[in-house]
Amino acid sequence: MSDPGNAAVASESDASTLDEAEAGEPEQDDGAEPNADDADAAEGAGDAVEGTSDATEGAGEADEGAGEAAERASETPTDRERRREVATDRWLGIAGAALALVGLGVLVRQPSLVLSGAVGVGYAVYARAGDAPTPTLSVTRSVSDEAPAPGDEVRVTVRAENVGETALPDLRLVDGVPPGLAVVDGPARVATALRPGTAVTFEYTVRAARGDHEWEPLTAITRDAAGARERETTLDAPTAIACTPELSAGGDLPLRGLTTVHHGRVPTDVGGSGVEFHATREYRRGDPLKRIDWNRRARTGELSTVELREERAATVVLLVDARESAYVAADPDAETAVEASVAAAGQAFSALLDGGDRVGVAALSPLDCWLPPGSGTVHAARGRETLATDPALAPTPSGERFYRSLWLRRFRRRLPADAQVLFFTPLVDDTAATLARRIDAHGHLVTVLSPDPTTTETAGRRLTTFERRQRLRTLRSAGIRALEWGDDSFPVAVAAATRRWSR
Amino acid sequence: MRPLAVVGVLAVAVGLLAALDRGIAAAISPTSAVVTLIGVLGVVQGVRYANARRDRRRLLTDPGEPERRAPAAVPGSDLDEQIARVASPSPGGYRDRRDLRDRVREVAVDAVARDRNCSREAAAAAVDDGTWTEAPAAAAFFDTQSAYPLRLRLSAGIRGRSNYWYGLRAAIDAIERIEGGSS
Amino acid sequence: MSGEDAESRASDGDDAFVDFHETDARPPTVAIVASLAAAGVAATAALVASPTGGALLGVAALGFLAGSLRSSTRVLTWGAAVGVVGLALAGYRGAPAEPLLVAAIGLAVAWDVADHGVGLGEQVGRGARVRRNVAVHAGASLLVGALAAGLVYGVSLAVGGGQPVAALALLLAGGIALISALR
Repeated sequence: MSDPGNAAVASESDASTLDEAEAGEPEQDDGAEPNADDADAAEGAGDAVEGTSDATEGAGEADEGAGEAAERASETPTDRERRREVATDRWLGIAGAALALVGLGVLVRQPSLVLSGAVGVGYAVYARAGDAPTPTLSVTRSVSDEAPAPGDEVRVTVRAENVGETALPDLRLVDGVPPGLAVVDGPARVATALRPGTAVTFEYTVRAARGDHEWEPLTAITRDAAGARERETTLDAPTAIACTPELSAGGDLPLRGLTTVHHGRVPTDVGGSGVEFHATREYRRGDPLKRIDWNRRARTGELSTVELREERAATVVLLVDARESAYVAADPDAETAVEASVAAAGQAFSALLDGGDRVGVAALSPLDCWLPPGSGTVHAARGRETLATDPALAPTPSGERFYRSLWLRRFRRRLPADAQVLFFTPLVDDTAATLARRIDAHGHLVTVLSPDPTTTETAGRRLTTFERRQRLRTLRSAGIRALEWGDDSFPVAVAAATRRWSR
Repeated sequence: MRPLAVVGVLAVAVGLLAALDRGIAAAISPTSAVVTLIGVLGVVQGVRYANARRDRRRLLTDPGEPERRAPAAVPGSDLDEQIARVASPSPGGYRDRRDLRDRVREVAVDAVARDRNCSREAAAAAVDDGTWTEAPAAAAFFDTQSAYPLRLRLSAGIRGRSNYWYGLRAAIDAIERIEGGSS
Repeated sequence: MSGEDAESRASDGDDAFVDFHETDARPPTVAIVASLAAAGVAATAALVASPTGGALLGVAALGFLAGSLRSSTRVLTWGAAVGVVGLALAGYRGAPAEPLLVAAIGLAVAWDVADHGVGLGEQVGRGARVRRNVAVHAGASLLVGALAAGLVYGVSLAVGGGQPVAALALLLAGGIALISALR
């Protein structure tokens, strides 16, 4: 489909290119220019009455000073894919109207009517004459920040130069903004006309959100001058931004109640150092003074040492539900449950690492994602990276098919025997609940942490809400701890739940 | 078609010549009636051709809305679509109706079992014989013996909705009352 | 509470307002203004020749405005149809060729730019930069009309005051045949 000899043009994202593009903008096509065009066109029309034959071409090139742009631009056309050419049928019926006027003129013997009908014939010919050109454009896209923080506004500048031989009398460009990003300022579109060698630049602003975002191809819609035929072409100018949220300092997240104390299926019965009372034994040389049971010493005179329950570092795997069904939200434009899960997993990740536990990350997703449990600052950085930009946890679903038993087999093979699982899922289908019980049945402590995406506005949504509540109840009655959070934040929900569980 | 085109080209050519050379025009000199006929033909055909625009289908490229973030699905919107399909009183949609009824029944049985603190079997029996709720429409939704209340059927008839649709909504409302009371 | 109004409420949620820059699919203002200007010229020219025809072209201008505001190409087509009837009426009443030609070009340009604007609105929206595109399109449209009018007017002057009815009838007959053959 794409023409031979067309090399891809890499997107230019460094600051110098951006500055240049901005500096060059006024020369290209902007601001006061269209007024001049209007005047030109009107003048051209005046000429035409006197019989200028090349007037059509004059209308095609209304732009002055666009030539400078050509000198600077690269001459390489961007890879393109011609999609289709369609007749817009805009002028359908013009020949009939012309014929009727001429016929009427003949019928009533009025030559002026015949003449005005003949003008219609002129438009009918005009509508037939053209062909929607295939644009040969060199497209460059630059972003003001390739690695923004979430919520930052990123300025995107797109420049398209007509490096082909043909003029484009009607060119509409619609940029392929990544589906996970929202444009907050200005449409990502422009409509213009480009002579060979001229360029158009347009800008818009997106709000950065977690994840790797790749731009999709730019759509170019070209028409002939009369607008009778239309062609759609896509132009591939790869650009990407990566938005990696900081892991919040998770010290305030009371996760200890979720993990260490209830370590494993059976509480550790190893006496040693820790915080919880286990037993007392005879004093041995070298026991720390603060562990001596001074009450007993006062009562009986014997020296004895308090044994505390051994506190071992827990191994925790954060499992995030990122199947297509988990990309749900209470409102189509709100953050999805996957975003809520990933954000909560990020908080849990740093809280557990701070508590000295070994933490890993996995995704319940058609794409593979596995960060083995570990600790330390390097591991923290890897965890942050995984949660932010792993394709399995992308901000929009991948569209791949999910095979449950295959996934479960692989997950169980990887999961360390003593690992606990914090399972983040919106619980909007039975599969998530079933998997939680299966993992639990294999001897891993599973805690379900569920962002609530349900609403109660329509009958169907209410039914879904009831079903989800029932799933939570069933999990709890099966001995699996489950907490949900909706409007209140994740740490608040965790605090409330741990109070409940420790009672 | 071809001969017609040839005739057309010839007529236009001679017409142009006639326009430029008065002699040829004088030689042809059609009668007034013929000229009128041609004029009428032109008007009629012209209007006919212009009328073709009525059947025009606009096939414009739709670039969509790339500015918008990919919209998230709302939980239950698929169910709402299914419910909308069974809203009309026309027969059919049997599978949709059965699926929906089964799904609502599951939820109702769970809610009743929890509310009355009884077994699921007992709750299922209560749901099936309509004793699980005070609302007659909700009861009739699962109970094949009892009919929908007359008022519901009248209002369904007037608004062009199915009885089923009203029963479904009544059942969901009844479940909500139980849920609200017990949680 | 019915499902319908709940859905409409959900579709314009608060989150949407904060984060989603909706594309304004109305035709760009510059296209509407240019179309009205052309329609105004057409109506004025026709008014000089024939009050009734001028009035109809005024109605056509209103139709273009309404079609642009409602983004409806159908309304635009009806406007153009009314305008053509206005031209026919003005011609029938014996309007001279010059104002009638100006009115015809004005009508064609007005409709063309308005329709172009609706298409632009759908594909790039009102918020985008389109002035150059509209200017080029309107200019080209104006040029085509002016060229065609100049050509036929020049020929009619060259032919002179005589009434080459025979030539016209032949041309029309040829035109009918050609259009029928090529469709």
